[in-house]
Amino acid sequence: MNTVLVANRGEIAVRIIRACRQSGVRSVAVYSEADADALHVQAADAAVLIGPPPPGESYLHVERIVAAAKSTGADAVHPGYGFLAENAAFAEAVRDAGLVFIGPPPDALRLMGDKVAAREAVSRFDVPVIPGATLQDEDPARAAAVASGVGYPVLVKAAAGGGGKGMRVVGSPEDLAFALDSARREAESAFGDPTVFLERYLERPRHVEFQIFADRHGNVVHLFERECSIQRRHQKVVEETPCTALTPRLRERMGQAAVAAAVAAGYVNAGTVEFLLVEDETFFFLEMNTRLQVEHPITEEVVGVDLVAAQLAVAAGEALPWRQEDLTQRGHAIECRVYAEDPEQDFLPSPGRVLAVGEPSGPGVRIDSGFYAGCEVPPHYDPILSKLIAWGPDRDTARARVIAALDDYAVLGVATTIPFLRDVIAHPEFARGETHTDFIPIHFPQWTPRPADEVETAAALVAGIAEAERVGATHGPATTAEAPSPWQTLGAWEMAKGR
Amino acid sequence: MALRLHLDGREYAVSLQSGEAVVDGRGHPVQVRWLNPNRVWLTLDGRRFRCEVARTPDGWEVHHSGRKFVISRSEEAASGAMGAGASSGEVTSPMPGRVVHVLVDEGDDVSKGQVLAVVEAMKMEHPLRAPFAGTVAKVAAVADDQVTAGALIVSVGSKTANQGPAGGA
Repeated sequence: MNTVLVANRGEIAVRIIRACRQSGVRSVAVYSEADADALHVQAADAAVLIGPPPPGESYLHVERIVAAAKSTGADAVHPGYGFLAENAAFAEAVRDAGLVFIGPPPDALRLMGDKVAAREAVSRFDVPVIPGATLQDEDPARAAAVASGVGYPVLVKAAAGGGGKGMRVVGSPEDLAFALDSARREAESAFGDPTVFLERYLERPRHVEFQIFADRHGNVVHLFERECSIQRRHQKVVEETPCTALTPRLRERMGQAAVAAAVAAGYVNAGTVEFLLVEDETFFFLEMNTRLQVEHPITEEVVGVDLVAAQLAVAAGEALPWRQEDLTQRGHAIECRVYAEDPEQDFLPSPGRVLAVGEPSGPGVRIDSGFYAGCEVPPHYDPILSKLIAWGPDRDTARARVIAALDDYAVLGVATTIPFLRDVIAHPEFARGETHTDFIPIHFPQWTPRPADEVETAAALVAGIAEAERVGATHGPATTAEAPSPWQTLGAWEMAKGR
Repeated sequence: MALRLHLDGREYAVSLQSGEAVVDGRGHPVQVRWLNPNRVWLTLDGRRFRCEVARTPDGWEVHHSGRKFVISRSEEAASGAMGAGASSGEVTSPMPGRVVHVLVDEGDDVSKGQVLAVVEAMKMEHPLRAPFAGTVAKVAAVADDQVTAGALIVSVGSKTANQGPAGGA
């Protein structure tokens, strides 16, 4: 593979381009008019404008992306995450153009993209799935029988869509008929289809996912878990590994189930199997994500691998660089997603010009960034700016490093979730490892910045007024006048002449 | 140099001379060292601060000690923050984006909190609401307009003033 086209933008495009550079592979970026000055465009070896800002006319435009790959001589396409990453038609269009799609085969994308088919496929390989069934008709007796088979409490879900529409939790059989009527009406109105699905409702689950990796030679491994329970409105915000609730035995059982799911899917390349974990070490398959995930860096830090470089190698036909027995976890890693959203205004998106950036650094601190001081954050796309990852030899050290790094991470000009993330990680319940999917609704129903003391406030005001003075004066160190240095007074000079 | 500055809902009188800053009449010994146009090290009352500073149209944003401070220089800028100038009846877009719907016409009576328009940015829609009950004095945008932060979308006049635009439009 000589040239890879990166069909994405922002921090993940920068990440993939970096792996290409380190692997000696030429990279091509694509961009919309809104991203002409974006970091990923500058970072690549070549760049192709593919359309106006709306995603449907740019990052989701299959024909223009494939055309850009062909015109730049790319032999492979990496789809990143989101956009077309899990789109089987795109994977096929890339393949039909004679290029390599850096990801799973289209059939695996289709199978795992269909939630019902995915459940059936993995359960044939003895992967536990959440007890559930679709209601084929509106017969109340049959509904009651299905519900008791699934087990109370029962979650009623719309079969045709998500986002909470058509969802009801039913505690006992007396409440079932009413809940079904109401859920069906909501589903009909939201998706045009009243069909509902009944599932066992899991109390206070943890969201635990396993990284898997398969090559084209039949090798499949897992690279352990990631705990992703800290979510806001079903969007992940903080991820960590290892998961504090896993014993070695449970980890092994779940790892084996993840590998079995990958085999059931006919999977190749990097993927993630999501489970819900409840008390007494019971876990259930939730779904499979057929792409590289946002939170992949924490696996890289703890296992000591480069997942994107491995993706390129496997797509080029190489065997997996690791066997299962070679892989171990060392230390602990935590990732925070930095979004251009204002936590003081209920996470209102905050597009605009970034005026200044100060990045933290230090042992175990990693930043995967897609933006820079002076860039414009456009309003058309997902507002993820960067990811801050901290590794430590144990969880408390990783936590302390994240908190210190977040305190030192300055982004001016747009609002970010940085101070909110800091308070989440510093919360005593996070310190105790009590991370369930209700963490943010319970502990952070609202958020305000911490108060500043009198001296801190004075310092901020003085920084402002000092900047006003400085802009009037010439730039340079604001110190007292000093004698000119030899570098200023030394006259013209040249290297020793003649030989 | 002496300025009146607004921060977190309060106004401060701030001045800076060599070696001393005065905030609301209280003196603080200070040392200032600039590393680059956006980074300054301050020592104030013996405490050290590393600040990131950027100039904004209204004043500055300053970051230190894990916290952002948004400072503005003038009264109008401070009260006009996020969206509606509530007392003036001007309903503005809180961020750059695209107008999805405008739901009212000039002359319509509206109630407090009624949704007047919807603006979309970053894949989410945001309703813009009437700050008080009144009459729509002006509609300044149509569906599909791309707008900047602070752009006027609708102006609402109070019901008591029937002749011409009212309330600081």
